[in-house]
Amino acid sequence: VGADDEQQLCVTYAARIRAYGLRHLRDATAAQDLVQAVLMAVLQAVRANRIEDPSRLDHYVFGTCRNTVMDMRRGDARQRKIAETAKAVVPEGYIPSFAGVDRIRLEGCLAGLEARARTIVLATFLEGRDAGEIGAELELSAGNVRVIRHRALAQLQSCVEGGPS
Amino acid sequence: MSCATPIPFETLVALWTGELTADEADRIEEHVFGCASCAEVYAGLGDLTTALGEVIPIVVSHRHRDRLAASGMRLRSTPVAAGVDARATYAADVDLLIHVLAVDVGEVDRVDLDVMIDGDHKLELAHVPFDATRGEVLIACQRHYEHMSSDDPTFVVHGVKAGQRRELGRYRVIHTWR
Repeated sequence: VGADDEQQLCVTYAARIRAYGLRHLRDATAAQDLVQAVLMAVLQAVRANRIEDPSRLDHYVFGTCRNTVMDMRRGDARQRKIAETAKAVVPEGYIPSFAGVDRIRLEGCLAGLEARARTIVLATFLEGRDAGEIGAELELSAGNVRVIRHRALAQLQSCVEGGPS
Repeated sequence: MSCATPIPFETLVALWTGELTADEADRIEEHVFGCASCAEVYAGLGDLTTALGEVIPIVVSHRHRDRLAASGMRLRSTPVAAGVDARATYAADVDLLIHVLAVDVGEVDRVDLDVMIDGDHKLELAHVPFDATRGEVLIACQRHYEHMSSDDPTFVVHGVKAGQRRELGRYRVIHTWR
């Protein structure tokens, strides 16, 4: 496996690993650490020919990701050290940078939502309330809340990526 | 970048809102790791929902204000009475202005708030957070609002009871930006 292949591997999986980290660790810095730690482990396995079935590399990455998150949740000191030393194994430039969502643009996009949809989105992601609770307050079924919410998220995603608000 | 069994967008949203069982979530994430098109949507939703969790909306709850203060943000509160112009200075040592609107909310089902600039409705917000006991609605004024308008905003607070909407007060804050 050459440097180009290794870099392609990192580019392919970095965003997935980061998103997995955001969902399970709820912290952008920890998610970035996860990207480094997982890619380091995967590259080391590739270099040592330890991946039994290279056609199932995605399963290997996923499994490594899951295990690393469990270690990080336990506050495993060894895992933290791995994240710190990952830079030595994963050359600079292998991992793409993640700009995330422009917050000011997102505020503008939120302002473009219909009032009820905006209320549902903010209640979900800022206040951590579920569809049932929100529905009870807005006199909507939980199913209706989910439909309004996923349509609003689709609209927001398009808007933050440069589409109309 | 095609997928034989694409995960529906609604299901990926449910994943990010924590509405799937652990087994369902695990199955979907395993698929995502092997599927570029689903991974793109999954990662996009991750960025979006993470950013939404950090948004500071125009009207914040008292709990959210306390959370911001606890995170180290330097807040400056300005009491604002209905019908009386209040003044707030965005000094260099302030990260966020909080305008504390004194509102006699009474018994309402919900509170709505309109933001008006130059006499025009700029934004209509429904179901905004309020504290009926303290009689307060909290406006979070961010520094980048400075460049959004040359005029200062007026906040119009409405109470809604049994479908009837009633104006509870108009509040104007004159800002000085430093």
